[in-house]
Amino acid sequence: MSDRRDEPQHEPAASGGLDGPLVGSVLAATPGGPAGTSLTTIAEDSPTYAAARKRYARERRMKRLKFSWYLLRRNPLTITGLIIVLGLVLVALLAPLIAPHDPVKLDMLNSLQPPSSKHWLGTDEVGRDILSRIIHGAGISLRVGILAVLSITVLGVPIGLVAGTFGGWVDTLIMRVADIFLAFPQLVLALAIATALGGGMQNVIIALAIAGWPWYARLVRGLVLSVRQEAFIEAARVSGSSWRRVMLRHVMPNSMGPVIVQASMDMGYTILLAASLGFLGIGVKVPTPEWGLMINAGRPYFMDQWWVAGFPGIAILVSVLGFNMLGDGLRDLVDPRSRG
Amino acid sequence: MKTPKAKTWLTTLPLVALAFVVALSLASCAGEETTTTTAPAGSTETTAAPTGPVTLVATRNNDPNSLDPADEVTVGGGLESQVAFYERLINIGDPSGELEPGLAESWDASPDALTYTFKLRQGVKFHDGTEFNADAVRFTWQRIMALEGAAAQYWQPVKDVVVVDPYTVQIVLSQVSPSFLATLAGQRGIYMGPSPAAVKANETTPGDWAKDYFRDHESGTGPYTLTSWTHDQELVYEKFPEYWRGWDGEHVDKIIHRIVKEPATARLMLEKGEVDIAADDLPIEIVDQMKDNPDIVLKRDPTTTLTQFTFNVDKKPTSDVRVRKAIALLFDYDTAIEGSFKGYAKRVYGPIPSSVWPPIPEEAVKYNRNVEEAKSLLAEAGYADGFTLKLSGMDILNYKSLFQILQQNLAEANIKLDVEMTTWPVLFEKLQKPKGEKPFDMASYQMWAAIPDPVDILMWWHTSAITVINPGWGTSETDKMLDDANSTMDQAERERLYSQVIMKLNDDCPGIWVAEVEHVMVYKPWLKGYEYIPYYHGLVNWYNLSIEGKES
Amino acid sequence: MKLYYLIGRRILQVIPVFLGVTLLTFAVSHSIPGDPARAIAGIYANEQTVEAIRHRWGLDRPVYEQYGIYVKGLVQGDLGVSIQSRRPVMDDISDRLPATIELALFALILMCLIGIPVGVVSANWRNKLPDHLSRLFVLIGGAVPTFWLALVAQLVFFRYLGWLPSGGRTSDMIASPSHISGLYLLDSALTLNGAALVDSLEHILLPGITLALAGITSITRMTRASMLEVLQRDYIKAARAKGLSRRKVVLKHAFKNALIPTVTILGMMFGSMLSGAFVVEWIFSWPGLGSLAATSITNLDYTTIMGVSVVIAFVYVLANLVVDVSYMILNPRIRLE
Repeated sequence: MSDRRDEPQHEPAASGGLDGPLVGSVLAATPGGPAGTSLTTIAEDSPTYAAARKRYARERRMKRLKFSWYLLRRNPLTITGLIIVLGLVLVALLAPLIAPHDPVKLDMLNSLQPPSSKHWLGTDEVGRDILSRIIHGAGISLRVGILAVLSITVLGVPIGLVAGTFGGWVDTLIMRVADIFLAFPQLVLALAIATALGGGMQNVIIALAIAGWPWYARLVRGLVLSVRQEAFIEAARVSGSSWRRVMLRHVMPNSMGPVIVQASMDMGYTILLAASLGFLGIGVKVPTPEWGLMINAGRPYFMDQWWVAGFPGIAILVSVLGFNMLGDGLRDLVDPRSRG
Repeated sequence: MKTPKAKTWLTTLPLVALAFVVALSLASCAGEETTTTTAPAGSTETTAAPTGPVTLVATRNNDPNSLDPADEVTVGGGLESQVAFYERLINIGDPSGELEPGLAESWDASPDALTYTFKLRQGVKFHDGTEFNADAVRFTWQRIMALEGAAAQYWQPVKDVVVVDPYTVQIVLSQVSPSFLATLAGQRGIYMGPSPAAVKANETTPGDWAKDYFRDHESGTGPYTLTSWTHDQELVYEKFPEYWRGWDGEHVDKIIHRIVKEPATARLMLEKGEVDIAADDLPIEIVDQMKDNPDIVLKRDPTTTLTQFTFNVDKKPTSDVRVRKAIALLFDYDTAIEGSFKGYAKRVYGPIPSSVWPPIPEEAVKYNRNVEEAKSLLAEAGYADGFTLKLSGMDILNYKSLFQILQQNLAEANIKLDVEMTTWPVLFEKLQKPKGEKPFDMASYQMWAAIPDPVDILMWWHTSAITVINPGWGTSETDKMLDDANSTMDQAERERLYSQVIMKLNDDCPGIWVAEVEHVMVYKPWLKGYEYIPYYHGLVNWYNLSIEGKES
Repeated sequence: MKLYYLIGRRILQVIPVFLGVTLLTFAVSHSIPGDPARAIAGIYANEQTVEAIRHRWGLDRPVYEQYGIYVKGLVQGDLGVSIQSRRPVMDDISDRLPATIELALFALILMCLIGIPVGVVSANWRNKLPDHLSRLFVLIGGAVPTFWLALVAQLVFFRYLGWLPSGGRTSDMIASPSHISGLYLLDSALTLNGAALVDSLEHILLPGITLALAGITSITRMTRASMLEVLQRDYIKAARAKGLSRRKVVLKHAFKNALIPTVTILGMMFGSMLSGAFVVEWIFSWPGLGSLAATSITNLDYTTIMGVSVVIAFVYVLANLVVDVSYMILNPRIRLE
């Protein structure tokens, strides 16, 4: 099993084409090595052991954090990504304070105005200030992204855990069902589900979760399978821990790292998907300043009044880029292979 | 086994690559050649008499569903192509709604208005060379009824079609139908064909009326024949040399109907001269951006199309007439017309467009924006603190801003409007729910009269239409007025009854009638002969078009 | 023997997935609200006409019965009849498939031509400027909204520069090449029809580039990762130690080995591109499967929605199968497990 880690693409189906999150490359990542293996010389029940163990763990953590920070700093892309994401969060939080105009108030007399000192990014087809709408839209994109990724994780991780832990026919069944969902490109599946549910932000999140869970289920299952074989799990099992306990205390924590990295990488992708749905007219409703919807609204004017659809597109590009850069950097931390 | 296969691939790959290179190098020579040959051809066209076929390029935004007039009757579904191949017995000649001869030279009605006799034109040929005659009319009727297709509904009042002699045919109705002739001539008129011989020849199983074949083939009497149809790409029509009106005068020989789904793309192609006419409705926002372009003609005409909001009259709070009136008073009509319709629309004060009789009575209640009055009405109804409404609207480009204007207007009276925009089939499912079960408070869509008769637009307020698009309005009294108006030939009486219905509607306010929109056709200045007839909304009379003075 | 057994098992696994795919498409497409019978009949149709149409299309039967009929047809290669076009869905799809395949192939080739070299460069100069630059490029490629990029491409190359056509597959004045494979680029090249080749190339360029840029991320990442991995292998180190130039080692030894995983994901990328072209096809009026899917969704054409989804899923699953099986054959370690 361990030699699998030498194969960056041993689960080709999960390594994602155009539509899927890039799971494969993370899948092989080694979770942080099991702690405590070098402490076997001290009697396990002594208080010294506990203290030493604690101290050791703390030191180790600090070291790792420092090293991580070093790695992060070393890569200018990651830092840029971090700055973009922090900026995005800031803009979203301060939107009501920094937006120069009301994002939803119509002003038909001032429609389609080019960028000017009054409206830095111009106005849209019903005279709203595009800059203000983009600023207010940041929160919406962030919320959809976070909620969707969270839902995907909440749905996918337990399923993957169950499949990996129980194995046998449960595993087979779950994985076949996952295959069925994976047989559809994510955008198409999300589009169909969101349409069937009737649109709206909540339904978009549900649709994204339904379309995205198999990726996480597969990822977690793979991790569980590899963790299962580790010596310390065997030891725990032999020492009489219940499966539930093993799963919660050992398997889960060891799988979390890659899942978090994967989730951070998928943030950008999910924001992009949600924007695509908005563009296709399925996401949130008017007059919400959702970026994809704004591009949709500005599409007929694009050839002359390019700013209506142009700037929201740049906003999407920059935010997704920020998340991708950050996610890329985070993956380097967890995945030593690509670190070098 | 593996190596030989790999070898053949290895040997073919360079061959294909070589072919690419050769073809490309040929192109670089041929490219010059073609430009030098086409350029003079174009320039001679402008100076001397046109030689060679004249081609017209038009756009449309979707692939037709079917070219069979028995099966497909909607504009956008294929009707706009069908009219190049098939013709009606009688036509509507001008915007006033005057009827004029088509395949029938003359017609008259029996005194009881139950039998219509048509004298058919002689010497008319179907595209397969067979003759059009009374048998063909009867055959068309039989085929439509047997196929139970979409066109069957227009033959509903018809009891029988009788062949009197080869060029005389009688249509016998089961009940008086004052709008029957108009239906025959209107947009959703009855198209003659395909030819009986062609149907017989192309049946896969005897008696199937060749319904599969005529989806993408045709055999009508019209001016053009279908040359090719590449799905989602283009349809090509070529002139039918034996067309009964003849080919004297200015016409085009070939029409390329290109499918361009994206309106913004259609606009660009038109501006660049890649197409001559954008032959289906481009969104008004797109059209408006071309208004200053001297190389584009914007032909504006009044239509019979109404933009309206309707209320669910069975659901609180819109079941209260005061609430409905308050909303009608809150709406900013002028901003909507200027903003959403860019001025290509006219205010309308009732459920009928100005081009269709009767006019809206002087004494009918009319609604103009009056926020104070609206607020006091709402307070009176006990809704001073507002409420939330759900609007289901049709996903038309300019409706998006229209709904947002309403949203903003209603907010002034603390009314929150949730807007949901869907495509027509989805909206329709909601509209046709039975009375009391309709899942919306307000709905918005457009409605038009496709015949010069009020029945076509007022019939939707009959309670029998509640499972179609009526939002639940109507009483036995209004039903009777509508029924009576549609079963008498007495014009004055019909006018009186319809006026009463309009009065009732305005008074009870089950809808807000916003505007009658203009139709704007955009084309290149060299395209001549285009005329808009409101009852043929969305249909182009291909035969009348010509190209004059086009520079290449 | 074991290999055959494994391959056989992998192939058998596809069957329940397919059944599930049909069930899922059926369930989702039938829960989309709307009344297709009414859509066919048009707004002015009366209840009788709608009822007749409903009956004719079997829309009045119980849902499970409709599903049964559907699966039965599917087994016989019959995807049903399109509600919209009234033609067999299979015909509608096969009419549009060549256009989509051509676009996807073109984009795929572009992706390889750009993505693989960028990945190699990135791995070779790891954590140096070329790596950062190429990673930035790749990250941008993965972050740009495709639908927006398509519009920008039209604006720049058609509206302002006027170099390329805005959409469609051919110009009107140039006849389509004679039909051999249905791929216009290939057909025009094979028939040595230069004018048509140039015309096809001009039309495919913008949608092709737009589509390619979205997928470059995966290719480059994969190439970079496997290059890094291969470069750390002992035999590469040995080759370097032997005194071979770095250039030679990278290009001759490492690259060749690193390419295998990249090539294997191409199969799957192709599957996903068949549908990834969705928005791109729409904006560029490209007459392919994506356009068909889009119209069928707006028109609630259930049978076509299902047909297109099933075909796309079919290609997707099949591509996965081929990749997995070829992997089993190529990689002895997996075989042994």
